Order: sequence, then structure tokens, then C-alpha cells
Amino acid sequence: MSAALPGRTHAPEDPARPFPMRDLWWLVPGFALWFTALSTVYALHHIGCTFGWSARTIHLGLAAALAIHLAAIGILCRIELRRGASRDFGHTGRFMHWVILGTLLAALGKVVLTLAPALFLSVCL
Amino acid sequence: MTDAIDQGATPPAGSALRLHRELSEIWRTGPGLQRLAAVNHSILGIRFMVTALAFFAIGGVLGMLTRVQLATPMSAFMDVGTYNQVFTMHGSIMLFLFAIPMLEGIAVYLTPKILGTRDFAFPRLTAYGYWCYLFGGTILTVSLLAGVAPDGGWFMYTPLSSNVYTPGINADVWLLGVTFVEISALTLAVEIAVSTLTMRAPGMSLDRMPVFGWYMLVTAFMMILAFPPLILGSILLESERAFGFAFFDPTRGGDPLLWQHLFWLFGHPDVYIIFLPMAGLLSTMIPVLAGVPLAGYRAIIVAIIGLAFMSFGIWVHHMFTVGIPHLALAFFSAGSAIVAVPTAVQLFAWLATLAQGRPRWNVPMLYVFGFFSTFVIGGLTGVMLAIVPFDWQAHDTYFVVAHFHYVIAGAVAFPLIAGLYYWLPLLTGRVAVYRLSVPAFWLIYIGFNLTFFLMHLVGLLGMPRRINTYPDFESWTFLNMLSSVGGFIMTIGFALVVVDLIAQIRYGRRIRRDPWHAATLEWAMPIPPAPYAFASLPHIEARADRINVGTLAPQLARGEGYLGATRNGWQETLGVHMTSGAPEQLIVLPRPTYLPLWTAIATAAAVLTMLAKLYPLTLAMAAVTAGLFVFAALNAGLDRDHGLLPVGRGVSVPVHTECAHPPAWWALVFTLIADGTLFTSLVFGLLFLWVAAPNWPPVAVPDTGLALSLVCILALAAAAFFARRALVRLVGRQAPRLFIALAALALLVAIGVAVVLIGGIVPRPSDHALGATAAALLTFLALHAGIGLLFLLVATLRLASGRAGPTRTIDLRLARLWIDYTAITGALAVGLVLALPALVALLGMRP
Ligand code: HEM
Ligand SMILES: [Cu+2]
Repeated sequence: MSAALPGRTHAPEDPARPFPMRDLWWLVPGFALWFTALSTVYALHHIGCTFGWSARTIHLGLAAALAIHLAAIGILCRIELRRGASRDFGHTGRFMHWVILGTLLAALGKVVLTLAPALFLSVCL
Repeated sequence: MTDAIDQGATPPAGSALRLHRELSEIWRTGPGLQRLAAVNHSILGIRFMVTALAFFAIGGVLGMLTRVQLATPMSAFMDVGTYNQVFTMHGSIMLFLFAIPMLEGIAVYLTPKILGTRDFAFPRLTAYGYWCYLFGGTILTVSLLAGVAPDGGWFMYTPLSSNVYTPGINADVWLLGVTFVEISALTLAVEIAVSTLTMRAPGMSLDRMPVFGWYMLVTAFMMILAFPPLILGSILLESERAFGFAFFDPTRGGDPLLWQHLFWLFGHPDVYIIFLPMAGLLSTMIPVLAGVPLAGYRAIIVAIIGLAFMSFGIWVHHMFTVGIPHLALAFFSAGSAIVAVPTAVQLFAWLATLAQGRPRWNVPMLYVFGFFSTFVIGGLTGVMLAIVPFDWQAHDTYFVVAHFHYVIAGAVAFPLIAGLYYWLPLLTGRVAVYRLSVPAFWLIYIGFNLTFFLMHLVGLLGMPRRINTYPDFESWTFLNMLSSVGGFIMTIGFALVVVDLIAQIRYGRRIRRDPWHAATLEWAMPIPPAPYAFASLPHIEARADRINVGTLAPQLARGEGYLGATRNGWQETLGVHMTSGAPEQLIVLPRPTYLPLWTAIATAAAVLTMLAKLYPLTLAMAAVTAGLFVFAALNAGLDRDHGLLPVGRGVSVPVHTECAHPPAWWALVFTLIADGTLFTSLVFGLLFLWVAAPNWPPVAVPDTGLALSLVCILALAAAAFFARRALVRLVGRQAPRLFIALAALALLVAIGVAVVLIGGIVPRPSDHALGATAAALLTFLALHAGIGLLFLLVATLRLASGRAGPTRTIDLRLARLWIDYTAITGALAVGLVLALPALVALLGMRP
């Protein structure tokens, strides 16, 4: 409870290097990829139907789009896991690692749950 | 470089009182009419909140009028035309003039205090946003009195809102008035984002930031991304109404569904934009009321980031009945249902906090309880509506009206009143003596549920929304009557709250410090807060929502933190590293000025002349507005270098004008994110029309001059190059003037070519949507190049006056960033226009 008392100069556990500002962007790609997955599936389906692609082609296209997005998020997860182990930015770093990993994993689950079932439906109805 | 005055920051042995006097003198806003020049966040925050409450009252009266009309069948109280205006204005006022500005007011007032800083980054912009809000809201309200208020429903669907079906100015009032008000939403969003990221108490790393800061940050970014589609849609629809551009007219290759997509791309996130700050209030109050720290801090942060993104991917659930393919319905449905998960994470975190602690059953807690029950009901009916077959039955019935009032009225009103009672002692220095708030709560609670719960039932019985009257069906009549009675009970409750609040403000018992044993920084200051908020800034060494206010407050008042002394009469605060919170720059904030007021008046004049269809005058007024912005930029910052200045506790940092990334830099970056969203929405619009709209391809074959287009792209690239060179020269202490002039010349060429290209577009913008979107893309380019010229103008003038120089380079760097962005989007825009013939040819391959 002794937070924020002016008088002491610095907290001993402060990391030598601060968590890089640039890496804040890592909060974005997980769910952003979910959004692009959704938009791609939506648009691809629409375009396929407009131009009269066969149901098989459309299904394959959608599955490919989904797979690419899942792979992308998966790769990001791996990178973040590795970085969490290899870099030390003190308490802020540990916190950001947790939150970034959380968004990536949640996004992964979200892509599977929301988009995968739709692939089993009939197209262009 | 530094002189004796600059060194004044060593904490004097003097008393807290002397420091208070000195700071008050520096930060004061003059009395009387000079209050119109206020730029202080405490004053403006309260102004936003009070104005929003006034609009809540107006909107509430309109809501009650609808209930009077609907209380009995075949009512003759209002005619159809009036009723349409009344319910449209009710919804529009509640959302655009109450809910959003309210959250802005809360953000402006509380965020700097909770984050331990003295003000927001751009006080003059806050003031400008406030005036835009006030003037825009006034235009909308006056239109109601004049009987020409918008009447097409709060989401203004085309073709109803096109000038074929709404020939009067009603829809124009909405499109222009709401867009005007949204200026304040965008400016504040940028400001909140920049300030929470760069202006916190030293040592407040992101993991120590109170969860309220996270809520505000996420909300701000949602606003940055959500408002541009709405603003774009409004501009396109207004240009269709005013100049006959064919964006939404299906007979000319447009599509009304494009409006729906753009609107709901904003509209659904909007619900969360309104809800998240309220959740932020709850997450701040509940731990204090329960007497234990908040459970699940990190989980909440992941949840709200997830929620923010998810809310952008489910807009189609407002369009389940427009004929979207089943496959798409399936995933939008799933996405909508899953949004319940992050919401539930927060709900359970609050419940866990309450379960761990010993909740005090005081007034705020009572309203928190009201929130829980209404929000859960609203959430559950939301999941019901996310299920497509159910939505097909319930769409556009009173069930939907019931649902959204539970989520946006209940989940806003209850936390808001809880928050008012919780923070009023801070605002006024008084606590309540009467307990009118308790009977008021029960009236509101019972009235609310009576009014809106019954709407579920009458909706399921088939009553459509937006009807001004109905035949005497036994079941409908009774429920409607009861619902109206509930409305009156609720209104009496709200009136009692108002009386109670006024009583507390005027006659409450005076207090000197925090009555709740809170643990956040806003209580570690004199109550009510002085204009400078903190006499000195705290140093944070642990989570900033577990602070011992009682010991910290007097230390800060004595000037023992950072900036515990005055210097040069500057309004000082600290800028910190975004993630670690280490102090990086000394931010010197501007003094009170009438400039925001004048600029907003000029903007209002532009809007009004546009409403009156006096377009040449509109252009003139827009030029005046731009001129005032340039003028404001001229005397920003400082006119000489100061080097490193001591800020207390042995730390020295440069003034923000001498830093590579002062707040203005980030403001431009975030503005460009908003702008990029607008551009992306425009590109989406074009592609959407291409695949989905009827009457494509157009009869006339599109054709754009290749040579001219290339000249345009080259000119933009050249401008970017010259701007870059100018900056390099400035940093190298050589005169950059020649390159600035060359960059300006290149931009002028780009503008000229774009205008010629627009003039030659085939098919004409009024003949086919293809021409209209091509014109929109090229206009976007020309406009941005024009603003680029303004950036260069500001840089030139400031270099001449000595405000900019080799060490104070921000002006040229902003210009460079803007021109880079213009070059990239401009090249994309021209490229897309060039690709149009190919796109049209592709359409020939349709079966
Ligand atoms: C004073 C309490 C309120 C009452 C009695 C009330 C009543 C109503 C009624 C009866 C309608 C349906 C009009 C129709 O479809 O014909 C309506 C619509 C609406 N209300 Fe409320 N309301 C209240 C508060 C609020 C609040 C606090 C908000 C938002 C913060 C809100 C937002 C809306 C919106 C967005 C609509 C849709 C308007 C439209 O269909 O275009 N209301 N309200
Ligand atoms: Cu929605």
C-alpha cells in the first residue's frame, strides 16, 4: 500500500530498458487478423457468388483464407511466446507479454469459433 | 542555453499555501465573459457533462412525448409528421448529444486526474470540440422548434432520407448537424488517446495504470476507428442530396445498402463506445465500495481490447433481414453471440470483487445494483437477437426497442448516476445530507423496468417500432398504457435525482478530503480540485489504483513531487515514455484564449450556410476556419530553446518543443489512422457497389486520362520528396525555404490535375455511382493536398517568426508526415480510378 510516496528516487525492480513503445502495436494484430479473416471470407463469398464460381471453388477459397489467417495468428503467438522467454523488460514487459498473448490466443479461438462452422454451410443462398 | 529563471524548479521550502497561490495565478481562468476563453480540463469537463445532461432532459421529454402518444390507441396527440420528428430526435439526441458527449466530459474531467497529470495535451482543442458540440446540438434542437427536424429515424436510412422522399431540409439538418457534433468526438478521441499514452504521473508504467485509463484508451481508439465511416456516409449522402451524386440511388448504380453498411460499421461499435467508459466508472468504483482491489485486472484489459475489435466485426446483425446470404448470416450471428464472452469477463470480475470484499450499501452501490440487473437482461436479449431466426421475427418490433433501452439506457443511466454520486464530492467539495436519492432510485428502477420490460412483450405480440398509432388490440393497448405509466414514474425518479443533486451541490456538508477511502489519484488533491489539479506530480511505484491518498495528498500539496515550483509563468506538466512512464518532456500548455470559440463560430457558419445552400459562402467560411487553425498554430509552443530543465526529484528533461515526439506528433499519427479509416471505407464503398449494386456496369465506358493521372501521382511523390529534403536541411541548419516552396508547388500541381480529372470523369458523377465514387476519391486527394499546403504554410511562417528552427522541427515533421500520407493514399486513389475500366470489364464475366 505504500505506492506513490514521493521521496524515494526509484523502485529497485525497474528494468534497465523500458518496454519498447513500438511493441505496443502488438496489441493490434491478433484481433485485426480476426477482422480481416471475417472481411475476406465475407467478400470472397460475395465475389464468388457474383461471378458464378462453383460451390467447391468457393468452399476451397474460404477454407484457404481461414487457414492463412489461423497460420498467421499462430506464428504471431509463437514469436510472442519466444520473446516472452528471451527478453526482460521487467514488470511492464511481463504484463505486456501476458496481455499480448491473451489477445492473440483469444483471437485464435474467436476465428475458429465464429468462422469455421460457416464453412460447412451451403454457399450463395 | 538555460538561464536563471528556468532553474526555478527546485522545490522551495515554502508552504503548500504559497505554492497553491502561485499555481492558481498561473492556471486561472478569468471571471465573467472571460470564462468563454476557458481551456482548462476541469471547467470544460464539467461544461460537457452539464450540457449533456441538458440534452438528456430534452431527449427525455421527447421520449415521454412518444409515450404519451402511444399510451392509448388511435391517439390524436401528435400527427404522423410530428411524431416522426419527435422519435427521430429523441434517439439522435440521446446518442449523439447525450451519451457520447457525456463520456467525453467524464473523460476530460477525470482522466488527467486519475492518471496524475495536470491537464490534457491539447486544451484548446478540447475547447473547440466543446463549442462544436454545443453549436451542432443547438442547430439540431432549434430545427425541432422550427418544425424541420430530422424525421427519418436515428439511422437515417436511404432511400427514405434521399431528397426524393425527404425533399425538405430535415435530413440535411441531421447529416450536417451530426457531422458537426462528431468533430468533437474525433478531436476528443485523438486527445484522449495521446494524453493517456504520453501524459501520466512519472513511474506509471502501463501495468500500473488504473484500469480506468485502459478503458479510456480503448474507447478513444474505438472512436478513432468508428466515426470515420459515419462521417464518410454522411458526406456522401449529403452530396447526393445537394449535388445529385449517385451513391445510394439504385437506378443509377448506387445502393441503399451501402448506407446501411457504413452506418452500422459506426453504429454497432458506438454501443460499446458508450458502454466502455461506464464500465470504466464501475471498475473504478466497485473496488472502493467493496474495500478490496479489483479482481482480474489483466483479464479485464484483454477483454476490453477484444471487445473493442469484436464490436467492429458484427455490424451486419443490424441487417439480418436485408437479404444477406445465409453463410454470412451464420458467422455474423456467431460473432454477435460471442461478444457476450468479454462482457461476461468484466461482469464476473466485478462480482468477484464484490464477493471478496464487504460491499457498503450506499447510494452509488444501489445504482450499481440497478446497473447489474438491467445490463444482464439487455445482454441476454441481445444474444437472443443475435440468433437469426429470432431476429427475423423480432426485427423492427418493440422487442428491439426494449432490448436497446436495457443496454444503452439502463447500462448508461445507472452507472452514470452511481458515478455522479461517487464523484460529486470531488467536484463540489460537498457530500449529501438528504437521502432523496434512495426513493429516487426505486422510482427510476421500477419505472424503468415497467416501461421497457413491457415493450419486450408488446413487441413479441407484433407491435412494430416507429408507428405513431395503433388500432385498439386488447393486448397491445393495456401493455402500452402500463408502459407509459412506467415512463412517468421513471421521469419523476430522474426529476428527484436532479433535485437531490442540486440540494447536494448547494447545501451539502462540506468535506476536505475523500469520503470513500478511495485509492486512486483523483482524490489526492484539494477538493474541489484547483485548476492545476496537482500542486506537484506524484511518483508512482506500484499499481496506481492502490494509493494511500491520505499520506500522498499533503506531500503533493507541499510540492514534494515533480514540478513542485513555478517557472516563467508556464502551465507545466510532464510527458512520459508511453510504456514505462519515465519522464521525457516538460509540456508547456497554452493559456486561456477565445480562439477555439471563434473557430467554432466560423465552423458553425460554414454548416449553416451549407444548410441554406449558399455554397460560395460555405467555401468562404471553411477558408476562415482553416485560417483560424493556421493562426492558432502560429503562436503555439515557445520561441527559443531552453535545453534541459530540472523538473524535480533530480530529473531534468527538455521542453516538448525540443523533443522528437511531442504530443502533437502522436496526435497527427492517430488523426491519420482515423483518416485512413475514412479512406478505406471509401474504397470499400466503391468495391461494394462494384460487386453488389444493381445497374452495373454503367452505359458509358469509364475512361480516365492516363498521362494526367501519372502526372498527379508524380507530383505527389515529388511533394513528399521535397518535404523530406526541407526537413533534412533544417536539421542540418541550412535554409529549407526552397524545398518547402518546391513541395508546395508540387502539391498545387497535384491539386490542379485532380480538378481537371474530376471535370473529365465519365460517366458523370450525377449519372452513375461509378463516376460519383471516382469523383469522391479524387476530391479526397485534392483536399488532402490542400491541407498539406496549410501545413507547409504554418511551417514557413513559424520558421520566419523563430518559433520553429533546427532544434524545434516539429512543424516540418508534421508537414512531412501529412504529405507522405497524402502521397500514398493519393496514389492509391488515382490507381483505383485508373483501374475502373478493368473492373467494369471484369463484370462482363458474370454468368
Ligand atoms: C426518458 C426515458 C426514455 C423513454 C421514455 C424512451 C422511449 C422511447 C420510445 C417509446 C422509443 C420508440 C420510438 C419508436 O420507435 O416509435 C424510443 C426510441 C429510441 N430511444 Fe428511447 N426512451 C428513453 C430513454 C432513452 C435513452 C437514455 C436512450 C439512449 C441513451 C434512448 C435511445 C433511443 C433510441 C436510439 C431510439 C431509436 C429511435 C429511432 O427509432 O430512430 N432512449 N425511446
Ligand atoms: Cu449492434
